[in-house]
Amino acid sequence: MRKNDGTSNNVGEFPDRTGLPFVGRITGSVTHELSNVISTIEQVAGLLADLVETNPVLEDGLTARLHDISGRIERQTERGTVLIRELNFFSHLSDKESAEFDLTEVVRNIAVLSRRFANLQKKEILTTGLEHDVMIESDPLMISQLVFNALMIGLQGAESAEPVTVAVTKCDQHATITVNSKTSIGSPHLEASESLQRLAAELKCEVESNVVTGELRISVKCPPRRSTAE
Amino acid sequence: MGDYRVLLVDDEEELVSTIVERLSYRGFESDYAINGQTALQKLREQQFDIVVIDLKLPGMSGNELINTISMAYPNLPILMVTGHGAGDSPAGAHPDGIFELMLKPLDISELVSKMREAIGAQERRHK
Repeated sequence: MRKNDGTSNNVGEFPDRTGLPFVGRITGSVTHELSNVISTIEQVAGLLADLVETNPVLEDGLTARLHDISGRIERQTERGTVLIRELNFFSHLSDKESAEFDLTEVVRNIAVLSRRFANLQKKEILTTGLEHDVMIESDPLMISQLVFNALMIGLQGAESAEPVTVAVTKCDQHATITVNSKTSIGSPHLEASESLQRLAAELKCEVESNVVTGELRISVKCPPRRSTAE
Repeated sequence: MGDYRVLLVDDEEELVSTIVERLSYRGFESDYAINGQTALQKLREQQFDIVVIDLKLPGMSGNELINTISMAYPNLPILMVTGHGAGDSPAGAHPDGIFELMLKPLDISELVSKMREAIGAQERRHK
Protein backbone atom coordinates (compact mmCIF):
# COMPACT_ATOMS: atom_id res chain seq x y z
CA MET A 1 0.00 0.00 0.00
CA ARG A 2 1.30 3.45 -0.79
CA LYS A 3 2.16 5.52 2.24
CA ASN A 4 1.43 9.22 2.37
CA ASP A 5 3.23 11.04 5.13
CA GLY A 6 0.72 13.90 4.98
CA THR A 7 2.99 16.75 3.95
CA SER A 8 1.93 18.63 0.87
CA ASN A 9 5.25 18.81 -0.94
CA ASN A 10 5.71 15.10 -1.55
CA VAL A 11 3.58 12.16 -2.50
CA GLY A 12 4.86 9.45 -0.18
CA GLU A 13 6.82 6.46 -1.29
CA PHE A 14 6.28 3.11 -2.93
CA PRO A 15 7.41 0.47 -0.42
CA ASP A 16 5.59 -2.18 -2.48
CA ARG A 17 5.74 -1.98 -6.27
CA THR A 18 3.74 -5.08 -7.06
CA GLY A 19 0.58 -3.16 -7.91
CA LEU A 20 2.26 -0.51 -10.06
CA PRO A 21 2.48 -2.36 -13.40
CA PHE A 22 -1.24 -3.02 -13.05
CA VAL A 23 -1.89 0.70 -12.58
CA GLY A 24 0.32 1.41 -15.57
CA ARG A 25 -1.50 -1.07 -17.78
CA ILE A 26 -4.93 0.26 -16.95
CA THR A 27 -3.81 3.84 -17.39
CA GLY A 28 -2.10 3.04 -20.67
CA SER A 29 -5.16 1.30 -21.98
CA VAL A 30 -7.56 4.04 -20.97
CA THR A 31 -5.36 6.76 -22.42
CA HIS A 32 -5.46 4.87 -25.71
CA GLU A 33 -9.24 4.90 -25.60
CA LEU A 34 -9.38 8.55 -24.60
CA SER A 35 -7.08 9.33 -27.49
CA ASN A 36 -9.65 7.80 -29.83
CA VAL A 37 -12.40 9.84 -28.19
CA ILE A 38 -10.45 13.03 -28.71
CA SER A 39 -9.61 12.05 -32.30
CA THR A 40 -13.29 11.46 -33.02
CA ILE A 41 -14.34 14.78 -31.52
CA GLU A 42 -11.66 16.51 -33.54
CA GLN A 43 -12.79 14.89 -36.79
CA VAL A 44 -16.45 15.67 -36.08
CA ALA A 45 -15.51 19.30 -35.44
CA GLY A 46 -13.63 19.25 -38.72
CA LEU A 47 -16.67 17.79 -40.44
CA LEU A 48 -18.72 20.68 -39.07
CA ALA A 49 -16.25 23.08 -40.65
CA ASP A 50 -16.36 21.12 -43.91
CA LEU A 51 -20.16 21.33 -44.01
CA VAL A 52 -20.01 25.07 -43.46
CA GLU A 53 -17.46 25.40 -46.28
CA THR A 54 -19.56 23.38 -48.71
CA ASN A 55 -22.84 25.09 -47.83
CA PRO A 56 -22.09 28.79 -48.00
CA VAL A 57 -25.72 29.92 -48.00
CA LEU A 58 -26.34 30.35 -44.31
CA GLU A 59 -27.87 33.06 -42.18
CA ASP A 60 -25.75 36.14 -41.62
CA GLY A 61 -23.26 35.58 -38.91
CA LEU A 62 -24.01 31.87 -38.64
CA THR A 63 -21.09 30.84 -40.81
CA ALA A 64 -18.63 32.75 -38.67
CA ARG A 65 -20.27 31.40 -35.54
CA LEU A 66 -19.99 27.81 -36.72
CA HIS A 67 -16.35 28.33 -37.67
CA ASP A 68 -15.74 29.73 -34.23
CA ILE A 69 -17.41 26.77 -32.54
CA SER A 70 -15.44 24.33 -34.64
CA GLY A 71 -12.23 26.15 -33.74
CA ARG A 72 -13.04 26.03 -30.04
CA ILE A 73 -13.64 22.32 -30.20
CA GLU A 74 -10.36 21.82 -32.02
CA ARG A 75 -8.41 23.84 -29.47
CA GLN A 76 -9.76 21.74 -26.63
CA THR A 77 -9.07 18.53 -28.45
CA GLU A 78 -5.48 19.65 -29.03
CA ARG A 79 -5.20 20.30 -25.32
CA GLY A 80 -6.69 16.91 -24.51
CA THR A 81 -4.40 15.18 -26.96
CA VAL A 82 -1.28 16.57 -25.30
CA LEU A 83 -2.47 15.55 -21.84
CA ILE A 84 -3.39 12.07 -22.96
CA ARG A 85 -0.06 11.62 -24.71
CA GLU A 86 1.78 12.64 -21.55
CA LEU A 87 -0.38 10.47 -19.32
CA ASN A 88 0.22 7.53 -21.60
CA PHE A 89 3.97 8.13 -21.38
CA PHE A 90 3.66 8.31 -17.61
CA SER A 91 1.67 5.09 -17.48
CA HIS A 92 4.57 3.21 -19.04
CA LEU A 93 7.12 4.40 -16.49
CA SER A 94 6.18 1.52 -14.21
CA ASP A 95 6.77 -1.11 -16.91
CA LYS A 96 10.24 -1.95 -15.60
CA GLU A 97 11.96 -1.39 -12.27
CA SER A 98 15.26 -0.86 -13.96
CA ALA A 99 15.68 0.50 -17.44
CA GLU A 100 17.85 2.70 -19.58
CA PHE A 101 15.93 5.81 -20.50
CA ASP A 102 16.22 9.45 -21.45
CA LEU A 103 16.00 11.54 -18.27
CA THR A 104 14.98 14.64 -20.22
CA GLU A 105 11.84 12.85 -21.43
CA VAL A 106 10.84 11.99 -17.86
CA VAL A 107 11.50 15.55 -16.66
CA ARG A 108 9.52 16.98 -19.57
CA ASN A 109 6.66 14.60 -18.85
CA ILE A 110 6.49 15.40 -15.14
CA ALA A 111 6.76 19.14 -15.85
CA VAL A 112 3.72 18.93 -18.15
CA LEU A 113 1.73 16.74 -15.77
CA SER A 114 2.54 19.13 -12.90
CA ARG A 115 1.38 22.22 -14.73
CA ARG A 116 -1.98 22.28 -13.04
CA PHE A 117 -0.38 22.22 -9.58
CA ALA A 118 1.60 25.29 -10.61
CA ASN A 119 -1.46 26.99 -12.11
CA LEU A 120 -3.40 26.50 -8.88
CA GLN A 121 -0.66 28.45 -7.12
CA LYS A 122 -0.56 31.04 -9.91
CA LYS A 123 2.97 29.95 -10.73
CA GLU A 124 4.66 28.51 -13.76
CA ILE A 125 7.04 25.64 -14.44
CA LEU A 126 9.67 26.21 -17.10
CA THR A 127 12.08 23.65 -18.46
CA THR A 128 15.55 24.10 -19.89
CA GLY A 129 18.26 21.82 -21.19
CA LEU A 130 15.83 19.22 -22.48
CA GLU A 131 16.92 19.46 -26.09
CA HIS A 132 19.47 16.64 -25.95
CA ASP A 133 19.11 13.09 -24.71
CA VAL A 134 20.53 12.37 -21.29
CA MET A 135 20.50 8.62 -20.84
CA ILE A 136 20.52 7.08 -17.38
CA GLU A 137 19.83 3.65 -15.98
CA SER A 138 17.46 3.59 -13.05
CA ASP A 139 13.84 3.07 -12.01
CA PRO A 140 11.91 5.37 -14.36
CA LEU A 141 8.85 5.66 -12.12
CA MET A 142 10.79 6.46 -8.98
CA ILE A 143 12.94 8.97 -10.84
CA SER A 144 9.74 10.62 -12.03
CA GLN A 145 8.55 10.75 -8.44
CA LEU A 146 11.85 12.32 -7.42
CA VAL A 147 11.43 14.99 -10.06
CA PHE A 148 7.85 15.59 -8.99
CA ASN A 149 8.78 15.92 -5.33
CA ALA A 150 11.56 18.37 -6.14
CA LEU A 151 9.20 20.39 -8.31
CA MET A 152 6.57 20.55 -5.60
CA ILE A 153 9.16 21.80 -3.10
CA GLY A 154 10.27 24.38 -5.63
CA LEU A 155 6.69 25.49 -6.21
CA GLN A 156 5.90 25.80 -2.55
CA GLY A 157 9.05 27.79 -1.90
CA ALA A 158 8.66 30.06 -4.92
CA GLU A 159 7.41 33.58 -4.51
CA SER A 160 4.10 34.19 -6.17
CA ALA A 161 4.20 34.75 -9.94
CA GLU A 162 7.82 33.66 -10.16
CA PRO A 163 8.52 30.70 -12.40
CA VAL A 164 10.10 27.50 -11.18
CA THR A 165 12.62 26.16 -13.65
CA VAL A 166 13.75 22.60 -13.96
CA ALA A 167 16.85 21.77 -15.94
CA VAL A 168 18.74 18.63 -16.86
CA THR A 169 22.48 18.71 -17.32
CA LYS A 170 25.11 16.09 -17.84
CA CYS A 171 28.52 16.38 -16.29
CA ASP A 172 31.13 13.65 -16.44
CA GLN A 173 29.11 10.54 -15.98
CA HIS A 174 26.38 12.04 -13.87
CA ALA A 175 23.09 13.53 -14.87
CA THR A 176 21.77 16.35 -12.72
CA ILE A 177 18.24 17.62 -12.34
CA THR A 178 18.14 21.14 -10.96
CA VAL A 179 15.01 22.85 -9.71
CA ASN A 180 15.39 26.60 -9.30
CA SER A 181 12.94 28.98 -7.73
CA LYS A 182 13.14 32.49 -6.35
CA THR A 183 12.18 32.16 -2.76
CA SER A 184 11.95 34.32 0.31
CA ILE A 185 14.85 33.81 2.64
CA GLY A 186 13.51 32.24 5.77
CA SER A 187 10.83 30.33 3.89
CA PRO A 188 10.11 27.02 5.61
CA HIS A 189 10.50 25.13 2.34
CA LEU A 190 14.15 25.75 1.80
CA GLU A 191 15.35 22.27 2.61
CA ALA A 192 14.65 19.23 0.53
CA SER A 193 12.06 17.19 2.35
CA GLU A 194 12.94 14.10 4.29
CA SER A 195 10.83 12.12 1.86
CA LEU A 196 12.80 13.43 -1.10
CA GLN A 197 16.05 12.59 0.65
CA ARG A 198 14.88 9.03 1.35
CA LEU A 199 13.68 8.52 -2.21
CA ALA A 200 16.97 9.84 -3.54
CA ALA A 201 18.91 7.53 -1.23
CA GLU A 202 16.95 4.55 -2.47
CA LEU A 203 17.80 5.51 -6.03
CA LYS A 204 21.45 6.13 -5.15
CA CYS A 205 21.05 9.78 -6.10
CA GLU A 206 22.55 12.69 -4.21
CA VAL A 207 20.38 15.63 -3.24
CA GLU A 208 21.69 19.10 -2.47
CA SER A 209 19.52 22.02 -1.59
CA ASN A 210 20.75 25.50 -0.82
CA VAL A 211 19.65 29.08 -0.88
CA VAL A 212 21.95 31.51 -2.55
CA THR A 213 20.79 35.05 -3.10
CA GLY A 214 17.19 34.00 -2.63
CA GLU A 215 17.31 31.07 -5.04
CA LEU A 216 16.38 27.60 -3.96
CA ARG A 217 18.34 25.00 -5.86
CA ILE A 218 17.66 21.33 -5.54
CA SER A 219 20.16 19.24 -7.46
CA VAL A 220 19.64 15.55 -7.90
CA LYS A 221 22.70 13.75 -9.16
CA CYS A 222 21.81 10.45 -10.76
CA PRO A 223 24.35 7.65 -10.99
CA PRO A 224 25.90 6.90 -14.36
CA ARG A 225 24.73 4.12 -16.64
CA ARG A 226 26.12 0.79 -15.52
CA SER A 227 27.69 0.17 -18.94
CA THR A 228 29.77 3.36 -18.77
CA ALA A 229 30.76 2.81 -15.15
CA GLU A 230 32.21 -0.63 -15.81
CA MET B 1 -17.00 10.26 -57.88
CA GLY B 2 -13.64 10.87 -56.24
CA ASP B 3 -10.23 10.79 -57.87
CA TYR B 4 -8.95 7.91 -55.79
CA ARG B 5 -10.40 5.13 -53.68
CA VAL B 6 -9.13 4.54 -50.19
CA LEU B 7 -9.86 1.81 -47.66
CA LEU B 8 -9.59 2.89 -44.03
CA VAL B 9 -9.18 0.23 -41.37
CA ASP B 10 -9.87 1.20 -37.76
CA ASP B 11 -12.05 -0.36 -35.08
CA GLU B 12 -13.33 3.07 -33.98
CA GLU B 13 -16.36 3.18 -36.27
CA GLU B 14 -17.50 6.67 -35.31
CA LEU B 15 -14.02 7.99 -36.05
CA VAL B 16 -13.40 6.18 -39.29
CA SER B 17 -16.86 6.88 -40.74
CA THR B 18 -16.37 10.59 -40.06
CA ILE B 19 -13.02 10.54 -41.85
CA VAL B 20 -14.67 8.76 -44.79
CA GLU B 21 -17.18 11.58 -45.07
CA ARG B 22 -14.50 14.27 -44.79
CA LEU B 23 -12.41 12.60 -47.46
CA SER B 24 -15.41 12.64 -49.80
CA TYR B 25 -15.17 16.45 -49.80
CA ARG B 26 -11.52 16.16 -50.80
CA GLY B 27 -11.65 13.98 -53.87
CA PHE B 28 -11.47 10.57 -52.25
CA GLU B 29 -14.13 7.92 -52.47
CA SER B 30 -13.64 5.85 -49.34
CA ASP B 31 -14.82 2.76 -47.57
CA TYR B 32 -13.92 1.45 -44.19
CA ALA B 33 -13.49 -1.77 -42.25
CA ILE B 34 -13.44 -2.18 -38.50
CA ASN B 35 -11.20 -5.23 -38.43
CA GLY B 36 -8.66 -7.10 -40.51
CA GLN B 37 -10.99 -9.81 -41.77
CA THR B 38 -13.49 -7.30 -43.12
CA ALA B 39 -10.67 -5.29 -44.67
CA LEU B 40 -9.39 -8.34 -46.57
CA GLN B 41 -12.90 -9.13 -47.72
CA LYS B 42 -13.40 -5.62 -49.06
CA LEU B 43 -10.04 -5.74 -50.81
CA ARG B 44 -11.16 -8.90 -52.58
CA GLU B 45 -14.45 -7.33 -53.63
CA GLN B 46 -13.41 -3.78 -54.56
CA GLN B 47 -10.50 -1.88 -56.11
CA PHE B 48 -8.61 0.58 -53.94
CA ASP B 49 -5.71 2.88 -54.63
CA ILE B 50 -4.43 2.97 -51.06
CA VAL B 51 -5.10 1.47 -47.65
CA VAL B 52 -4.80 3.32 -44.31
CA ILE B 53 -4.51 0.95 -41.35
CA ASP B 54 -4.63 1.57 -37.62
CA LEU B 55 -1.99 -0.41 -35.76
CA LYS B 56 -4.31 -1.51 -32.96
CA LEU B 57 -7.05 -3.72 -34.32
CA PRO B 58 -9.17 -6.40 -32.64
CA GLY B 59 -8.37 -9.96 -33.69
CA MET B 60 -5.84 -9.74 -36.52
CA SER B 61 -3.36 -7.02 -35.56
CA GLY B 62 -2.49 -4.06 -37.77
CA ASN B 63 0.96 -5.52 -38.37
CA GLU B 64 -0.44 -8.91 -39.40
CA LEU B 65 -2.91 -7.23 -41.73
CA ILE B 66 -0.15 -5.16 -43.32
CA ASN B 67 1.96 -8.25 -43.93
CA THR B 68 -1.00 -10.08 -45.49
CA ILE B 69 -1.92 -7.15 -47.72
CA SER B 70 1.71 -6.56 -48.76
CA MET B 71 1.99 -10.13 -49.96
CA ALA B 72 -1.40 -10.33 -51.65
CA TYR B 73 -1.38 -6.81 -53.14
CA PRO B 74 2.29 -5.79 -53.47
CA ASN B 75 1.46 -2.70 -55.53
CA LEU B 76 -1.04 -1.29 -53.05
CA PRO B 77 0.48 1.51 -50.97
CA ILE B 78 -0.19 1.36 -47.22
CA LEU B 79 -0.21 4.11 -44.62
CA MET B 80 -0.05 2.99 -41.02
CA VAL B 81 -1.64 4.99 -38.24
CA THR B 82 -0.59 4.61 -34.66
CA GLY B 83 -1.32 6.21 -31.33
CA HIS B 84 1.34 7.08 -28.83
CA GLY B 85 3.39 5.42 -26.12
CA ALA B 86 5.76 2.55 -25.97
CA GLY B 87 3.04 -0.04 -26.24
CA ASP B 88 1.74 1.31 -29.51
CA SER B 89 4.90 1.74 -31.51
CA PRO B 90 5.61 -0.85 -34.16
CA ALA B 91 9.12 -2.23 -34.39
CA GLY B 92 11.20 0.02 -36.64
CA ALA B 93 10.22 3.38 -38.02
CA HIS B 94 8.83 2.09 -41.33
CA PRO B 95 8.10 -1.62 -41.19
CA ASP B 96 8.18 -3.45 -44.49
CA GLY B 97 5.19 -2.63 -46.65
CA ILE B 98 4.50 0.76 -45.06
CA PHE B 99 4.85 3.89 -47.13
CA GLU B 100 4.45 6.19 -44.17
CA LEU B 101 3.73 6.03 -40.48
CA MET B 102 1.31 8.64 -39.17
CA LEU B 103 0.38 9.53 -35.62
CA LYS B 104 -3.10 9.99 -34.24
CA PRO B 105 -4.92 12.32 -34.09
CA LEU B 106 -4.86 12.58 -37.85
CA ASP B 107 -4.84 15.95 -39.50
CA ILE B 108 -7.09 15.55 -42.53
CA SER B 109 -4.97 17.76 -44.76
CA GLU B 110 -1.83 15.87 -43.86
CA LEU B 111 -3.59 12.55 -44.45
CA VAL B 112 -4.71 13.68 -47.90
CA SER B 113 -1.22 14.93 -48.72
CA LYS B 114 0.44 11.66 -47.62
CA MET B 115 -2.09 9.57 -49.52
CA ARG B 116 -1.55 11.54 -52.73
CA GLU B 117 2.20 11.24 -52.23
CA ALA B 118 2.00 7.48 -51.72
CA ILE B 119 -0.27 6.94 -54.70
CA GLY B 120 1.90 9.19 -56.86
CA ALA B 121 5.02 7.27 -55.89
CA GLN B 122 3.32 3.99 -56.75
CA GLU B 123 2.11 5.31 -60.12
CA ARG B 124 5.63 6.50 -61.00
CA ARG B 125 7.09 3.09 -60.16
CA HIS B 126 4.72 1.50 -62.66
CA LYS B 127 5.25 3.87 -65.56
